[in-house]
Amino acid sequence: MDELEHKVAEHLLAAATDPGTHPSAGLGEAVLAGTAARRRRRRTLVTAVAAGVAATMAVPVAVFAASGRDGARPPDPAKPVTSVTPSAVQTRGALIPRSLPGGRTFRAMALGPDGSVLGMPVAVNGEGVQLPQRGVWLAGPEAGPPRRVADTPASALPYLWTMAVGATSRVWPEGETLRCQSPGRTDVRTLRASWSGREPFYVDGGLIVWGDAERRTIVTAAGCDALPHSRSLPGPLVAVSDQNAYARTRPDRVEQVNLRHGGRRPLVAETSDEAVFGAGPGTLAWADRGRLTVQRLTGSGQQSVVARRLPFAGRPGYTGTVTVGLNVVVYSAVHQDTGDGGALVVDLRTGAQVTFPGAAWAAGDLLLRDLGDGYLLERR
Amino acid sequence: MTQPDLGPFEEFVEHRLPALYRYAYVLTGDRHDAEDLVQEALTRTGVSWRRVRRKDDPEGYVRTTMVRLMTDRWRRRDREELTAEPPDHPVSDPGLDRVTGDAGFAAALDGLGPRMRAVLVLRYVDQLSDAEIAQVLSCSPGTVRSQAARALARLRTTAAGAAGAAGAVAAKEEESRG
Repeated sequence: MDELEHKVAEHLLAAATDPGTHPSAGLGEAVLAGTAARRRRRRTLVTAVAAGVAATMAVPVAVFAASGRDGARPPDPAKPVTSVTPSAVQTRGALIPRSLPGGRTFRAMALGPDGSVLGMPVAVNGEGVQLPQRGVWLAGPEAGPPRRVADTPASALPYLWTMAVGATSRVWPEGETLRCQSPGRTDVRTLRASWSGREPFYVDGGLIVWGDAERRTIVTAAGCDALPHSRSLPGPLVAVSDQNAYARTRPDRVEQVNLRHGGRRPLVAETSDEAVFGAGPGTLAWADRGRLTVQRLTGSGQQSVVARRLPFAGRPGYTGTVTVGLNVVVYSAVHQDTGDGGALVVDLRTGAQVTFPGAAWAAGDLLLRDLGDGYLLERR
Repeated sequence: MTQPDLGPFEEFVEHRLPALYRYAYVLTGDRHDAEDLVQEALTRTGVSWRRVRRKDDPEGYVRTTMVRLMTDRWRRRDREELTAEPPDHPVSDPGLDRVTGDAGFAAALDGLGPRMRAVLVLRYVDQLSDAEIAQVLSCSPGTVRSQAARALARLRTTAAGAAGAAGAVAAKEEESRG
């Protein structure tokens, strides 16, 4: 090192070791609060819904035929087989504009099998970061703008990391409680059982379902006014569908628990702690370490890796979700701050795969996907 | 609403925040930017804590995250977009230098772009090789060498200019006394 380099090193090292350089009070607490809030948002997106639909897409799309020992071939953008134009797709779907009064933007957070789309308004700052705003908004199944169905206090905004919607209930967090609204009503009830603020919750058929990982219990309520019931669960709740709950009991095991009679069925699922699950009628799926695996629960009971390359896999700041439909599995990755992302749709009937920009969800026979300025709700 | 228990991550933040903040300050040269940077890097680390902890070097992970955040995103508009000209040649005020010691040198360092400054920090504070720096910054070792060379050349120019100006001031003072 010459003299200048010595001076550079001396100057930088002095600043790096100067005990007089210290952060302002409250920075540590801000870090912990921010971490807790992001963890909640992240777990949200692990929520699985049921539903199905086919491969659709924005520009340009690539469809891949199924092949190989594990089922469908992983998406290879270099080898598109089929392209679908957005206009062709849009003529078959209902468009939900994202623009809300006051310059805010609608952010979808849950899709129900009846086509209900539940979400919240966000304001986008100069860096493209989405900032949650007060209110719960509902759209679908018809085309048209979302409408406001309930208010949320400003203090609850950090907890609005997930929502769930179905034919009988719309559910969202408010602090460490769950708020519930029945379709056709304007009043909002608080579900009469505790919620940790961190666990995902689901609306499945007529039931509202959530878990308590610490107590190893699952709570079910048959609607907004019903008294919740609690029962034991062999591990953290990772998915719910078709009157079945799925609990991860070991790194290589998931247990299916029937919500009506309590019957249990062990399933082999080699997963890491980072795995995200989704369930639909007859299907459990999970994304882990960049791969998407599908376990059929009826017929052959086959388990196969259907994709080995997922959108934004391993990219910092992106959170993955798996939603499962009757015939389709959707993996969707969304950036925690900006909301941008991408999705992979796998058609379980044909093995065809489609990737496209923006988030996507499947429920019933519907697919909802983010087109940027709006959401497209499709039935096939 | 209660603060969720973040366990070992909370302890990590409590014990390592001051040192990590100092590192952020070295990287950014600005206290407010340093707080933003360390907060964002620690929050991201906290979200992925279980995965990070398995790698046995969470502090190194946070530092690398800070470097990458700064070089990728911390391109502050007030320094890189809102000035009339790029701050290639920080203003040198020999009179001020005599009062504030090496403030001029600090200003010259602050005038470097985020990537150049990161290269210097990784080389002289972390004492990484060019190949290791290249890995952190996701670029080639050749790019690291050229960034370092350009940064040092700018600092050398500033130092020479300051020395020349200081010499001229001293000569003028000498002349007025004589």
